[in-house]
Amino acid sequence: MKSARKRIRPRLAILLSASVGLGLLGIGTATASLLPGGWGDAVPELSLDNWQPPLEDVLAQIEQTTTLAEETLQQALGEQWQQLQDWLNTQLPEPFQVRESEVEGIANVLTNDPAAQQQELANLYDQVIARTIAAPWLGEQGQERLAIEAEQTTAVLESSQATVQDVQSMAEEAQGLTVTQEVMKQNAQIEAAVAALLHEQTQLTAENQTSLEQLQQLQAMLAQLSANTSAGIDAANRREQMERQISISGSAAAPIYIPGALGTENYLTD
Amino acid sequence: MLFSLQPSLSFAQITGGLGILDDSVQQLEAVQQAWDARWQDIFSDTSGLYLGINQFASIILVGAFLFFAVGWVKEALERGIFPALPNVIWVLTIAALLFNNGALLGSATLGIRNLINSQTQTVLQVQVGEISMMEALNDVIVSQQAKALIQQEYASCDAQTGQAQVDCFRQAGERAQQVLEEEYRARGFWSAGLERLWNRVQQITQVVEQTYSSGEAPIAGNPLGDILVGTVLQTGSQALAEQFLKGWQWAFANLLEMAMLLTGLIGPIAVAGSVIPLQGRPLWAWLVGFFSLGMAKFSYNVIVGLAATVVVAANTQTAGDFGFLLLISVLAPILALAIAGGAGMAVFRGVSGGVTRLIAVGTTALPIPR
Repeated sequence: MKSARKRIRPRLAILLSASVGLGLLGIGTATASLLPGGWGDAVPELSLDNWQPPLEDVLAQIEQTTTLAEETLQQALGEQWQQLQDWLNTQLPEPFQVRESEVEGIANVLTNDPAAQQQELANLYDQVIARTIAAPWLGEQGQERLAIEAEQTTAVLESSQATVQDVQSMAEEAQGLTVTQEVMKQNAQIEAAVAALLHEQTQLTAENQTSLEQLQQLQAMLAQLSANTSAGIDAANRREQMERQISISGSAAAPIYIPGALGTENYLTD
Repeated sequence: MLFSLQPSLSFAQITGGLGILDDSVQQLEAVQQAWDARWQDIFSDTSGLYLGINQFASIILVGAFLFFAVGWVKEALERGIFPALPNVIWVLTIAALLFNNGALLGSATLGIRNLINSQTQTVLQVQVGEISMMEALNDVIVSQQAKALIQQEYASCDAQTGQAQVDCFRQAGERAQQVLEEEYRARGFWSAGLERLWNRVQQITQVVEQTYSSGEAPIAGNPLGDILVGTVLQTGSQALAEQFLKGWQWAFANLLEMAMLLTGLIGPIAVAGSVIPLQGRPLWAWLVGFFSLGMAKFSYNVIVGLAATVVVAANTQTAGDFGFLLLISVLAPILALAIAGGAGMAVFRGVSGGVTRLIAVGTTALPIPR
């Protein structure tokens, strides 16, 4: 009996010491986190305050683009814009609707061909839409937008940097604390290193964001240039079509006069 | 001044008066009426222009009478009064023609012009084969104009593709048929050329739809492509060339009318100059000149009319547009003027010879110190 009791005691001692050790480790960690200079709430709040929800941003952009498109189309098409909206029964028709639906009666002084009229209308519509989509990314509006985005990115980076600094200082402080286990100290150092890595990633993301903004600007410029090219080609086509139309109409309307063929005896003076 | 068209077989009656194609015919009539009006205005008693010419002619007459008097007295003294009497009759005739500001001469000029025109019209109405030259001319011109109108409708179709192109051809075909239908409603019948155009327009619409639905080779790759290209498609340069030829024809026809009018206008001067007893009197030269221009007009009409009958007989109203236009615009005028050229040279010789003789008489009759 005595020998069995003697075998159980060292195991119990090991279990008890492990439990106490783990308990002390938990208390130590909790205490370390509650010590002055621990993780505060300020950093995550700061980043959330500065970051605009993407959905709102997209919705605001769409609303802005729609208003601009309507204004521009009103200017480009005049009274026909209202007719187009009525025909297609929508506030801002889809480009394919304008191209494919039966849209009649769009006045065009220079051609009476409905297919050519609709093609020109659809091209014009596409050009206006391309320009209005490009508008928020270009000019003063684009610069403002870029500035806001840059401010937001900078704020996120600053908060990230502050967080890293906090973590690093916490890690440094952890080195001087009375935690017996070395592993805890190493953990704190690893956390600090992870935070630094995360900051670097955030920085890279921010740089990507800036590049994306610039890419969008470039894309918008390209869309603008495409619209200009399309308008230029349309103008050249119209001119060519007009030239041909005038030649053919002129040929059709050119009179042929056969002198004396009608005689003169039939015409009596009053 | 108002003109009314009396019912008779005329160009206007053949073509009707309401169709869209009548624009060209109405233009033709309008030009004819405008020229008639100019002739009526100028050769009427109240015309300032003819009055001015007559006043100028009266001055010439006075001067020429002096030459006549000197020459006549000399002749009467040498040969007696009776042999010199015809010259007096000449003077009396000329006086009668120029009396009352050339009223008689004006009427005669107008009458000669009307005679030439009516004879031209009569000849054009003579049957050549199965059709008169007038009807053939009408058919060819109206077919040509109708084809130009139809080409106008199809002008934008070659820039389309896919279904839009099919739609374009179908819609253009409908519009073209509408043009021809209106013509039919206005006239009550189609000429052979218009009927052929109608069939071709229908055929082209059907072939285009069939080709696209069956996915066969493009239309330009089969014989129907020629019909398509020859009938309804036209490039800007082709149209420009046709317009140029039509403009040339219009300019020549009006120039011919202008030449006749101007020749008619200088009649009093030629008549006044005829007082001088010369071998070739300017009156004859003037008359020959006037008739030669009438001959040019007549020849031109006959050439064009005969060409039209050939075109109609060969059923090529719509195929040989360019050639026909070239003929009526350039070659027929050259040929007509060449035919009338002999008479034109006679005018020139008559007038120039007359002036030379006038100077010769002046130098021999007048006591000029040598």
